[in-house]
Amino acid sequence: MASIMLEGIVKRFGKTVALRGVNLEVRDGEAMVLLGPSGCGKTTTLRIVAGLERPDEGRVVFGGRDVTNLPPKDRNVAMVFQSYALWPHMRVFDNIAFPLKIRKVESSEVRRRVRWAAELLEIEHLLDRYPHQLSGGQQQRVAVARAIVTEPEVLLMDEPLSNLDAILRVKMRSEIKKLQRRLGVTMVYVTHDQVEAMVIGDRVAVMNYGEVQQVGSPQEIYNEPANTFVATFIGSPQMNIVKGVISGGLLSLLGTQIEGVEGVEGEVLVGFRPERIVIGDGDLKFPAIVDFVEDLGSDVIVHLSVEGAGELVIAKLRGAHASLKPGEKVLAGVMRSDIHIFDPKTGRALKHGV
Amino acid sequence: MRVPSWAGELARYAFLSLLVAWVLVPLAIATIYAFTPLEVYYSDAILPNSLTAEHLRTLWVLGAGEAFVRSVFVGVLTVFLSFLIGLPGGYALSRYVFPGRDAIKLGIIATRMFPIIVISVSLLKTFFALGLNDTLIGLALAHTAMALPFVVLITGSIFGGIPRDVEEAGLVFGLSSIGVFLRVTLPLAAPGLAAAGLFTFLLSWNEVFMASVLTLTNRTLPAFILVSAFATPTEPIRFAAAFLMILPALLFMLFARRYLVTMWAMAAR
Ligand SMILES: Nc1ncnc2c1ncn2[C@@H]1O[C@H](COP(=O)(O)OP(=O)(O)OP(=O)(O)O)[C@@H](O)[C@H]1O
Ligand SMILES: [Mg+2]
Repeated sequence: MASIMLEGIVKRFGKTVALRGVNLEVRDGEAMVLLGPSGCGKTTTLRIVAGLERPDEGRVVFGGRDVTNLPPKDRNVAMVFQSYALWPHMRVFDNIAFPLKIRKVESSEVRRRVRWAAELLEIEHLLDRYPHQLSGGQQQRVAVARAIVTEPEVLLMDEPLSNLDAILRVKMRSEIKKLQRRLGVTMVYVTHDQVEAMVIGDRVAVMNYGEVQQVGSPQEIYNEPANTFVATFIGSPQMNIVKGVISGGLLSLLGTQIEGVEGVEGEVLVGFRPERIVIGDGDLKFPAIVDFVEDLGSDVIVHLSVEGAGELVIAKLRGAHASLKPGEKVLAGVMRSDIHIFDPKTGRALKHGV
Repeated sequence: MRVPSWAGELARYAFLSLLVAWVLVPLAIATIYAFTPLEVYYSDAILPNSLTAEHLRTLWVLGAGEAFVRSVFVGVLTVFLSFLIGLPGGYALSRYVFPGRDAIKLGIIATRMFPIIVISVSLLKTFFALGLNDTLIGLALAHTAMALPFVVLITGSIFGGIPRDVEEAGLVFGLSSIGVFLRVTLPLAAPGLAAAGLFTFLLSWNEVFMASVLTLTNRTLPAFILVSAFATPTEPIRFAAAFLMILPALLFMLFARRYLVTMWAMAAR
């Protein structure tokens, strides 16, 4: 097993800069998830770790060994491709066995290891088939079996679940997590599904625009977002961000005020999550009018417009509030600890909880 | 007014029958008369009541056997040489982006604009200088030059139809670039490449201009037929010669039909 260090990785494709100085440490045996919107550079980062792409600047270090200029075959990595990339001319057995055969593993040992991987992923009955005779979910399992059979130091996965239906995806994501724990392998997992990221990642690296925005445990990322991008990217519906002003410890926003906000002065952005809004309670209360109600059964999403302030706020409330009607006046509230303060120019978080 | 569906069907089958007849009737005539005894051919009978191999034997005596062997030799050598040079070219065109790539592709197609007969004459001068005139190797080289654009473009398309990530999986799981080419790319391309190889063989097999110009005593089958067999006034001998020429193409179509479809399908992807 090995830790992975990415130091100042820059990657350009012609004029587009895919990565603008990525720094990331993945600890030995850790599951690190790269999360971010489409085109932010997740796949490029993963391919640089694999050695399929050379960085223009920066270093890739595996457990103290500089591998920046090593070809993939000398890195002892395994990868599950988004498209699975099974070899179409080989049966499932040979697909899983091929990495072992390349390493000249003895044939009885090959059979033993393939059987072990096939059992683990419950695909023993598929070993004689060709990839095109498998469903998407089955192909995905074969791709994972092929990736773990060599007991790699580093396991890389590029959105392996994105081609599966919703039910299978939920099932497979916890299976992948369990498998990673069981093998204790260092894993880098790419996704743009935040729930998947939270379930699988010991830590999550949120990426945007070719840069790592924040690295932390799912809890840290959710509770202490480093900037407005992370704050709004994580969580659904996304965090409310409204304008506010702090002067002498008095924070004014949404037509009301709250005292005792220390350490920050001037114009700020104030964030609070829809699911942390309560009706008729909270340290900060503001009157609002119901615009629109989306009833999701267990929860209701309520769009509120705040009189005078000209701001729109979204609240996620318990199903009991489904009876709210458009035009109704409510008093919405938030706890002090659920309020985040951001710098309006840079978007950086200044305070979590006021 | 609506045309009844049976009328449409009828028209369709009539058209298809016509098309098939267009191809098959000359083939059938050539084949039948290639084996028709002279006295039957020059009588009023339309179809022979007995068959003979005498015309093929006559051709054999005239030297068709050696010409046949020479044709096979030149064809095989052409396939070997044009793939040796063309296959890496096709792979590079399909896999790597480099400056001038599109210009090269266009240039390859442009070489097809020059009539072969013109090239043959100037080639002959060069071959005299090199001592390659009237040699099978020289002819195979000329055929290689002729087949190369086809080989580069078709193998390029075939390799282009093989997903890049399948190769990358090979790299990640422990192969070198050459290993990936040999153990992943080639096996996947094999059916298409086989068909392209047979097709190239036929290009050489059917080529008659350069063969007639560049060789004198070492003639390949089509050149031999052009100058020897077709010079005889005996028509059944000409049919026998025609039959000898079509035979490999027919056999090829019969055995390689599936691969041919695969080749064009891979190339069109
Ligand atoms: N081979 C390439 N040639 C040119 N540009 C590329 C290449 N690969 C990636 N890019 C560009 O680099 C940027 C990052 O791409 P990347 O594939 O890493 O994004 P991603 O985060 O994986 O996105 P997605 O979630 O859509 O898969 C994009 O702007 C993309 O267009
Ligand atoms: Mg991607």
